[in-house]
Amino acid sequence: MAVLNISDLHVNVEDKEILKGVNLVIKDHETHALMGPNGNGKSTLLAAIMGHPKYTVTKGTIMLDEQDVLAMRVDERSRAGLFLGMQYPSEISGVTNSDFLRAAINTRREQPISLFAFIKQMEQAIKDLDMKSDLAHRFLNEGFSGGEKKRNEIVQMKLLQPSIAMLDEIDSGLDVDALKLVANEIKAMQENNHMGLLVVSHYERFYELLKPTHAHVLINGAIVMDGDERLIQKIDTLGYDWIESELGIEIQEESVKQVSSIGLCGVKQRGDGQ
Amino acid sequence: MMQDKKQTIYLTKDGFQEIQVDCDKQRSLLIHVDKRRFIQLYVTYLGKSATLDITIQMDQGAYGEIVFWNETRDKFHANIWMRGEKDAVLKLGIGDLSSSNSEINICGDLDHSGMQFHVTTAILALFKHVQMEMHHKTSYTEAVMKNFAVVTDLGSYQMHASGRIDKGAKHSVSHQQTSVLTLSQNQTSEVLPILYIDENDVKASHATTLGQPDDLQLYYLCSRGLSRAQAIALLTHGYLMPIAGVIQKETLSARLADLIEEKVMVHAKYL
Repeated sequence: MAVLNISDLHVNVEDKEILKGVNLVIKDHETHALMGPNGNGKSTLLAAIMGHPKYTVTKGTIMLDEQDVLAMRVDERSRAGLFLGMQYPSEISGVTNSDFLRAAINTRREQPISLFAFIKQMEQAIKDLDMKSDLAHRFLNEGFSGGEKKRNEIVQMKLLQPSIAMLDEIDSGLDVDALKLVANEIKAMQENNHMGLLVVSHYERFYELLKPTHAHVLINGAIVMDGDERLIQKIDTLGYDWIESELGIEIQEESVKQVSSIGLCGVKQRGDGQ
Repeated sequence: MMQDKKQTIYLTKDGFQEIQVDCDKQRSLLIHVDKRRFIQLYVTYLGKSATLDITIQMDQGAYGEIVFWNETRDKFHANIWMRGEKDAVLKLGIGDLSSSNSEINICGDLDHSGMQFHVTTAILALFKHVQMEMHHKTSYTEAVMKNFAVVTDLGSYQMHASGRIDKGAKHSVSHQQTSVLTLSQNQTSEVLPILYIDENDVKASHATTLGQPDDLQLYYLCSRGLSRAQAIALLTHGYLMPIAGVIQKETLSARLADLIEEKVMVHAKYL
């Protein structure tokens, strides 16, 4: 039985505190919907759990069963059973999907997987996700459409069989049919291996297909409200304004970075105000 | 005194051939491809050290895919001349992942219309210096240079690649691309892409990238369970793999992929 226990988690990005004390427990076979306005820390939470080097945990703990996740490197977290389906998966030229995934599977085994067994598994996953048969030989995410990238994340998840999977807006870029297909595959996998799920999405339709057991609202770097499917439906209908009123909080707007000159081109910042 | 030991290979039949050159015993190699032949040739250099002159002569309408793979141990100095006649096409690959200190000079004379020289280099650099010039002397000629290098700790890599288009060589095409992956701060890499163009009606370009492995790419690979060293090895392998596609032959591509993997893992395990 896998349990991911996040306690009083504080996370900084470039000296700015984004998460300000997140508490969350995800057990196997549970599906947690993580909602909230843009720029309030949802993706930061998922990336910090996975160990993204840009995010610094300043306080708190993350435990996977009895294991201290924060003491692990990124690869160790993955091998321990964590998986993050990314919002923007990297494109890596020269590295084929099959080479990458075979290497990733072999990191979890004492003996390397046989080529025959690997091809069989990969072909099945490609078929299940209704992807083109040449996926295995294509370079990792290079030239993929937005939807293909997201489906490829699920192909990876199917082959790596995590105990806790986090999906960061995995539904964006998917058309209606693909959304249903992906949701069904996630559900089928969960039925099979009982993995726990932490899902970030802005769309009620995706949650409707995944049928979350829990829902959380993350605002200003902390989870301010918990509930179930009814909370998702209410947010889908009313937005987040009612939470501000009900809890007496003010949602901080997503900060927009100002474009500034680095002084290498003709457009330079001028000190004289012109 | 060193003797000048020559070997000439006449390729008069279509198909794939593989030869090994013992550089300790041989100093000069002429590869002559007969007109309108379609040949694939894989040459491995063996031995301790060498100074080797290689000439590739492509007769009219000949098509060749040739890869030179360096397995010498100490020092390797090669001068490679590419010549041909009308409509000759040569796709040349230079693979050097050896422990040798290598200096390689490559010259291509494009002096008949319809000639095409495509050169791909894949280099794992401890000390590897390459100079290359594709000289367009007449119209309707094409040269493409693609260079991929991975530079290891204390490594030194130089790539001076030039496309020279003479006056009157109209409709010539000269493209070059050099990509360098550096695995350490303690290395020197120098890429000098040059275009000498004395004609207006041509197509020419150059592109260079040089830098350390991308942190986000490494994070992505590690997030699936690969250690940093394994992730770098995979990236490095991918970087050098274009050499495996120069000769369109599946079994050879697989062999080269294995050879590259073996070499990059040796370096990756120290990262």
